[in-house]
Amino acid sequence: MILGSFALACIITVLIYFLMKSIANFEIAQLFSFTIGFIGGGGLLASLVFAYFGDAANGASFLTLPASNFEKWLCGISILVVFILVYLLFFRGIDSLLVSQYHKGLNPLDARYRQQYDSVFILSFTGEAEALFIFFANAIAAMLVGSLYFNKVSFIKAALVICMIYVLVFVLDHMVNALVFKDYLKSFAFHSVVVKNGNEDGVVDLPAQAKNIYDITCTYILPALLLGISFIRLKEKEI
Amino acid sequence: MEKGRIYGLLGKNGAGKSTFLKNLGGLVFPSSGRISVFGEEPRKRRPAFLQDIYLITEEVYVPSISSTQYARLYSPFYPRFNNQQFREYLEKLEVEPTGSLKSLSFGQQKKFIIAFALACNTSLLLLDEPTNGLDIPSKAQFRRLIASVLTEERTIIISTHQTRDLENLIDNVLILDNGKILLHESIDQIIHKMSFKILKTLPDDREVFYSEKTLGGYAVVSVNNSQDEDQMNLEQLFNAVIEKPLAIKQLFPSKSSAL
Repeated sequence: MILGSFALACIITVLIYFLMKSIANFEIAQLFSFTIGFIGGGGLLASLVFAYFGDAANGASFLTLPASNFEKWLCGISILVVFILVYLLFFRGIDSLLVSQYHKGLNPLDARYRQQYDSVFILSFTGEAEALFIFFANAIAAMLVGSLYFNKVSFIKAALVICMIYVLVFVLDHMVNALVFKDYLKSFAFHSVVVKNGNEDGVVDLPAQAKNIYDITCTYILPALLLGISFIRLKEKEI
Repeated sequence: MEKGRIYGLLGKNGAGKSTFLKNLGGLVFPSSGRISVFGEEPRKRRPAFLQDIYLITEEVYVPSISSTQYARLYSPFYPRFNNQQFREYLEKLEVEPTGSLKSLSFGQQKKFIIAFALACNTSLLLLDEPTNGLDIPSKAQFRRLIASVLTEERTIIISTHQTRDLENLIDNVLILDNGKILLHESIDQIIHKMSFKILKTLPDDREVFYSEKTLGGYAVVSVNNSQDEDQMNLEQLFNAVIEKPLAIKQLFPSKSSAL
């Protein structure tokens, strides 16, 4: 199952990459396929690595195996680390291949050659993609916790809980901003609020200090907290 | 519980047999009180403790690998594992695992795990309904094998509600009901204090714990007032304990207590 979810993440990435490239463009294809493959595949894998502990026969076999709780937990984490490395290598390989094929297919004598050449480049894992890595860290840590709380179909149940939390944050953010700001238009939770300022729209950004706290919380504290909970939950797991 | 003994754990459905074994194996934690096995708390699931016990649950798990791969993968976790014994036990249980273990029938998978567990040579072996899924010849093979592997250093606890599978195998009986120990006694003591007879007529006796009509008259379980010792019938003993728990407690006052 674990190898299957590795393979599934890779296959879905390739399919979405080709699909989006044909109906949109390279940039969208890269971002979309990477997001679905990396976060979807990682989330699926995270919900599977500890799912064995939810089943009576499997769980008894693994929990009574003479290894410490930390070692058992670390095995699950190691599988995810391997997934991250393998998936990033795989994506970079596929992306490089397709981008180089595109570059080779261009006519150097074409007047727009330079422009066409520079419009497509391999997806950088820094910059915009960093937000995806932060989301990934939180999502897989939450899925790990979910897989230890829900014994059956933990992937779906944990994904539903995560979605509900997102919706709740969105709704609460909207309600609070509507109460606080007089001419409130829309908001982006933990980022900015758009208000009507005469005939123009004004953007109120999150103060730098608050943004810093939010960034540190999402990047380090929340994933670490969720991983810690998953370890405690594994330690206290009963069948 | 003493070393070098085989305990038969009996109880009705939901009496707490599996929960008791899981508590000993560290799979379930007590809601109150403390459990100590070899001076360790099972709930901590320390590797040193887990190396010395083996719990076979009613449903067994085998991965999609061969028998040799299984032994190579899992045996390093058990320092006293003996590969030669493992092969010998597989032969005695007539298990010939060729190819993936997943392709074996449930009964064969169970016998494979029993052979592996015995070869691990742990001090405590917990077997939850080990004969479920085994055919009649396999049950006999199982009994023979368990009887042959008992050593001075090993304790075996077998939970079942198929009492006939344990007859002539166990030397101690533990009967549970609603999470309480109704009887915890050696077979020697039981046959010394209780009589198991077939009588033509049903005696009108206060010392009768249990009776049932049989072909030759009545099977009667009562207080043994003579020096003779009868062949114990485990099923009748179980029924007697369930029907007259207070009278049994008076007969065996020392060990019965709440779990």
